[in-house]
Amino acid sequence: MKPYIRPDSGSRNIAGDGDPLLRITGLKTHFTTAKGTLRAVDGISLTLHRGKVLGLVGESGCGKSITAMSILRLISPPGRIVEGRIEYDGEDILKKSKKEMFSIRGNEISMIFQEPMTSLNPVYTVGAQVSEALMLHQGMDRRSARLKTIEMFELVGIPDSARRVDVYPHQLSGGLRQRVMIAMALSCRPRLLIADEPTTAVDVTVQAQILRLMRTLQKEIDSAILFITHDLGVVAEMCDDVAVMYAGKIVEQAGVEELFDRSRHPYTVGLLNSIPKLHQENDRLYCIKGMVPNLLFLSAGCTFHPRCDHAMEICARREPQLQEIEPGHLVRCWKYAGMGD
Amino acid sequence: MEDIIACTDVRKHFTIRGNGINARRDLVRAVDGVDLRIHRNETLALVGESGCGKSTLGRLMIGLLELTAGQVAFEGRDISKLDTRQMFALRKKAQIIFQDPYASINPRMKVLDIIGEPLETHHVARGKAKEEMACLLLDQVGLRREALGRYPHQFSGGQRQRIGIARAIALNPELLICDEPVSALDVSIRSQILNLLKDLQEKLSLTYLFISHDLAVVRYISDRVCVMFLGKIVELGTCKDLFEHPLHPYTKFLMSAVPLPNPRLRNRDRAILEGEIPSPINPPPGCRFNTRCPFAKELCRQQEPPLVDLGGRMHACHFPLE
Amino acid sequence: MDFDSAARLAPRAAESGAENEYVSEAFWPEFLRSFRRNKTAVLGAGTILLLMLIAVFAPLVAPHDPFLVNLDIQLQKPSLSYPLGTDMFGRDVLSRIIYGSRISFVIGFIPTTISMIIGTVLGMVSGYYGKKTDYLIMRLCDIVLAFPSLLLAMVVMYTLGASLINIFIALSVVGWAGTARVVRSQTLSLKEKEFIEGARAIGVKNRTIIARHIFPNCVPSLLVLFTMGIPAAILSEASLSFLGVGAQPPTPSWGLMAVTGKEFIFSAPWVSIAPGVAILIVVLAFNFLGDGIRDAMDPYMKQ
Repeated sequence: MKPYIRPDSGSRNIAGDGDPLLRITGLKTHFTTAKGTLRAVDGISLTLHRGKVLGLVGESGCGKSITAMSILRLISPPGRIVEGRIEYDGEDILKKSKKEMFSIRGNEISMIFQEPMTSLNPVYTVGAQVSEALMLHQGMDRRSARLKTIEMFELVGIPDSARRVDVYPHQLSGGLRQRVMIAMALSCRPRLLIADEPTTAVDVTVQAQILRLMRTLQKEIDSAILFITHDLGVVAEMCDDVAVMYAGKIVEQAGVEELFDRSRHPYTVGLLNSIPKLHQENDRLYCIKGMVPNLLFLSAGCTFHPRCDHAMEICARREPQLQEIEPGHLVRCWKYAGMGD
Repeated sequence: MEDIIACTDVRKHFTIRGNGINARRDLVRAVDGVDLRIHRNETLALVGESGCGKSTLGRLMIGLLELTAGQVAFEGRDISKLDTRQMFALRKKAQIIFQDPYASINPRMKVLDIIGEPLETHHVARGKAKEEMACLLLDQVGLRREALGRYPHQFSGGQRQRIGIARAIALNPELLICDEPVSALDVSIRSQILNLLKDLQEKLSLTYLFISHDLAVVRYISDRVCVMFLGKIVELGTCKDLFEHPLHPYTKFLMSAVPLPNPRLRNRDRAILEGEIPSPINPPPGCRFNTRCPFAKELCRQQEPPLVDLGGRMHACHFPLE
Repeated sequence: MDFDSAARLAPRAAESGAENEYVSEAFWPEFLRSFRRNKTAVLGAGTILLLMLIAVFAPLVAPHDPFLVNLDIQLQKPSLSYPLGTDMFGRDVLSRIIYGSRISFVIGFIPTTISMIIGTVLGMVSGYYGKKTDYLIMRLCDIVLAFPSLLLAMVVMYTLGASLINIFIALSVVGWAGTARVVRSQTLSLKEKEFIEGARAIGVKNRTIIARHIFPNCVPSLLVLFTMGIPAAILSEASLSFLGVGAQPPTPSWGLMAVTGKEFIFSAPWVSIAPGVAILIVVLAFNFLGDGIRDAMDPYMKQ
């Protein structure tokens, strides 16, 4: 298979500079199980522009990881993308052939996973794994790929890089492994980087280093990042825009400062109120009552209403739609329906 | 009132054998000389990153692990000198709740049996009486009576953690070791469990040793905080003191590394700690933190700083920040 | 944040946890449902059930007395009154197969059960206590596994003499090592789980921990091992009988029937082939059942 060689600086910008790099419209990814259909992602629409960082926030089971996998079309049965468009650079990814997808993954769109230990193959050296992407997508020969790998390792701050290309994953600490993952993901200078909880499994001082590294590299390579996390602090550090997910749907979306200053959806507000703050005395934390929902047994109407302190009668009957209540600020809640019309 | 726990020069070393023919015997100095006292009815937090020894120290304090050296005194009595019967009695007074709600309760036991196990083991109640007590315990942690007949996999992570808490308080202990009790839970559930722990502490006059890596959680729930690094204590103080005026550079770096949920502060002026977390197998000579510390001087590389006690406020640094 | 202060009050513990309990299925209904979807497994289970009924009600099912010798009708071809023909002593082959199923099931179940009991206990002890105990038991295991099992069984049979009881002993002595290995590895992984630490923190004695916490969690694997061990035992017995050190005539053991019929394999093939096919059916049925149990167990274990 002839590798698709893409020059370093932004080439086929079919979509034009002002248009979004990634536009997801109405994405639905469902899983058929013996107990019924699991609507993991149930109608998501997102846009991401070049050079921006979009945060996708939510707890376990909200569908954020599945969204990422859907973008890269890594969903296998019993899961299926049942509806929606995913436009990357103006073209619908869902209509591309397998061959075209191969040249996109790792090349134009890269992904960093949560667990660096299981994402790296333990029987190959870390250098070999990074070089593999380079040889495959950039058509480099082994020697040039190795040199570029060493360069990438230095870029991501792995000390002693010339020696470290030949070590195995288990010989590195969690933080270094995650840097290797970043090097691998960025080696082909992707235009879109999807980071799925990249710092959840590392210690807090290492997390700070990794986040700073990602911000620096992102500016240098001018990639867009879809940053998936459950940690609102990380969102505040990294993201330009934020989308909050709950039970497969986006319940609120806004610019990062707007979201933290003026969040509207009871879930978002509840989350922000329930996390302890480091630099202030907290009297008593707010609790969102109830539990994270089981996607197989979602309530009728608004999926959040059983846990909502503000639930009204209509919330149990009909599902609210996502509405723009202020420019750039969308909320899916009956309390705010009618605002901004 | 005496302290509930008094540790003196506690050490725990593990030997790990490497694989293969050149099998080295590495010594992991998980806990390497800790002096600590836990006061009655307080919540003392043990904070640190991986490899600092906080989980090991917690287990040493209630005798789940054997000491390599040093002494742990529970209510004044050296626990290594207790015979089997006395150790058994100690179990009633000190319990532990774990991090992983999915692995901390037996998936093949009914909730009734899980919560009732301590009651039966210590001959406190069985049969109908056990069921009644289990009901009361469930009520204390916010679960309904129907849960008794169910199995763990029928519950969510937060509910399982409540079951674990119910089991831990069944014998009315005095000390509860909380080993990262909310780290594995969803964010919206954490506050529920933290508030539950706070309420229980008040109702049952419990003393908590709260082990965590999450500084914000620690600030919320603790009275005093103890920061550990590579098996030793580097700083100790009340919440307010430690978080507002940290003395040890590591404490300051830990705090600055925490991502704050306020986007306006993202470009704040702060130093980020460089370097990797060293392994407890070969700690550096002198102050263990010197290889990562930007303020390290010659003295730091040569001499290990002692734990200085300034009337309850402690630090182990040759050149404290204040 | 535009919330009224009432919303900020943390709800009482009782309100904040119990509603919307997961209605996740208990183990057995879920397991049975997965199992039922597997057609071959259900077929296997059905066949075994049928054969067990035949074995239990053998006197009612068998058309003739399996031991009745009638030299007038030796080696008769299969006919209406003798559906599988007769053997060299004029005995009805079908009736002998029906009665032989009892022997096969007994051979299948009893030694397997005994060896599993031995293997489970040793495996759990070895895995839980570790160190020297583990070392000793595992070396013993290695020794037993290194022996060709059939030879070992033959040695036992020669020493103790050929009888059904001795077959049980022989097969048990040989079979425990595989179980012990599997149970030991299960125990090792369970031992690290926090609920074991929790039990120790409560003060539960070690042997109670093993019985109450470790053993029940090994049951799924044991179930699979059991259903796979039965056909192995049946085949072993058949081989032993074939070699002459198993059941003795006139016992209608299928293995014995196959070997005594081998002289007539060309003139009266049904005498050897019928019991051979019977063994095939039973072993296949247990294999399908065992596979089905393991597959149905698997998604649950992943949970």
